[in-house]
Amino acid sequence: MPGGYAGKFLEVDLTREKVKDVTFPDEMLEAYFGGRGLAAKILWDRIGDGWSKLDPLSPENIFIALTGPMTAIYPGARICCSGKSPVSNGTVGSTASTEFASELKMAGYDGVIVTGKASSPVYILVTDEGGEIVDASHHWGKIGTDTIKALNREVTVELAKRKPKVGLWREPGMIYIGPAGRTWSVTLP
Amino acid sequence: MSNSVWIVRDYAACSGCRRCELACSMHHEDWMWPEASRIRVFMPFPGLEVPHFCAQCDDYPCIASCPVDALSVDKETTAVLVDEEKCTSCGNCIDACPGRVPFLHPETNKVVICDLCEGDPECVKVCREAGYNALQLVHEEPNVHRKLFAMEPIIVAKDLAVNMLGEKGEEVV
Repeated sequence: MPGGYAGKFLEVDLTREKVKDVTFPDEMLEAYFGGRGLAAKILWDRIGDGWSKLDPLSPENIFIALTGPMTAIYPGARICCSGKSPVSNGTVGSTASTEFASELKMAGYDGVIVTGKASSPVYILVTDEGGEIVDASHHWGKIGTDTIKALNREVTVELAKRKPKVGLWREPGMIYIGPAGRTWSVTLP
Repeated sequence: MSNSVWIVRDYAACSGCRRCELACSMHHEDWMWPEASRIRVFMPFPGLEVPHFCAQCDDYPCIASCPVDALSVDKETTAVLVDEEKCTSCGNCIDACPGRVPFLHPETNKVVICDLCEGDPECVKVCREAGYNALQLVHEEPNVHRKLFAMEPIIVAKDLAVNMLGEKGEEVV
């Protein structure tokens, strides 16, 4: 395992509601490093020739959120979200600076790969023990700040229930969609 | 207690940059590890940042609650020191603290409390360096007002919301 990597990636199949840990060979991590590079390689391996026929808003598209080798080493705090873009039909390499990136790395994961389509709204909760798919139907339709507020409360209560003696749990890092994502808006602001 | 120090916190000035967490974990754990930092910045609502750490209450309810005497007071700085070998991770001090400030270390599972870095806290240095001055060091004797700052972050955030956002703040948190 090259330095800087936590060692495993979380793969979530929303259609079958399965969560598993995947690893990639060392040569691949050394050749394509960082969020954009590795995401392009994963997209190439998984979609490849079907790229031109793939509908970006269909369940066959893959959402990849990857950290790089320098993430969680100060001041690296960026997460790179990739997939096939519905705007340009190219690859997305959109990076965001969030707590989520460093907290994902501290949980022992280098990235999250989401495939398929869930039957109802869900969120993916990543803890040190692994990832899990949690129902989020009651959060559907909220704006960004309300989502943060509701998930902060829900997740900290859930974690405190699991490990009651640890003390106060800090708010989780998260990435989420707002009204634009909910309505599949492809227009750039 | 001539060298007694205390960290004044200004919630309104905190921007939530979390440099204090990084500096604290770097000093104590030799690693940038915000989960194990003695100072933690809570964000109950976006924009309301609450730095949360030991306030060194004058009566030390955590020490009174410890069944194995793992906690003691530093005579110089009035900070609470943890004897990691004696600590049994029972969690009594967490429940006894009015603000639930202590927490268990994610790796060693022993309780973690601010030790004021022997009178020269790293978090204050980086906060001043960044220009926010949300944390400031004062030299003062222990007094009853310290305990007022040991509050749960959600309660602090509710007050803060009203102060910063006005009437709208009452329904924000």
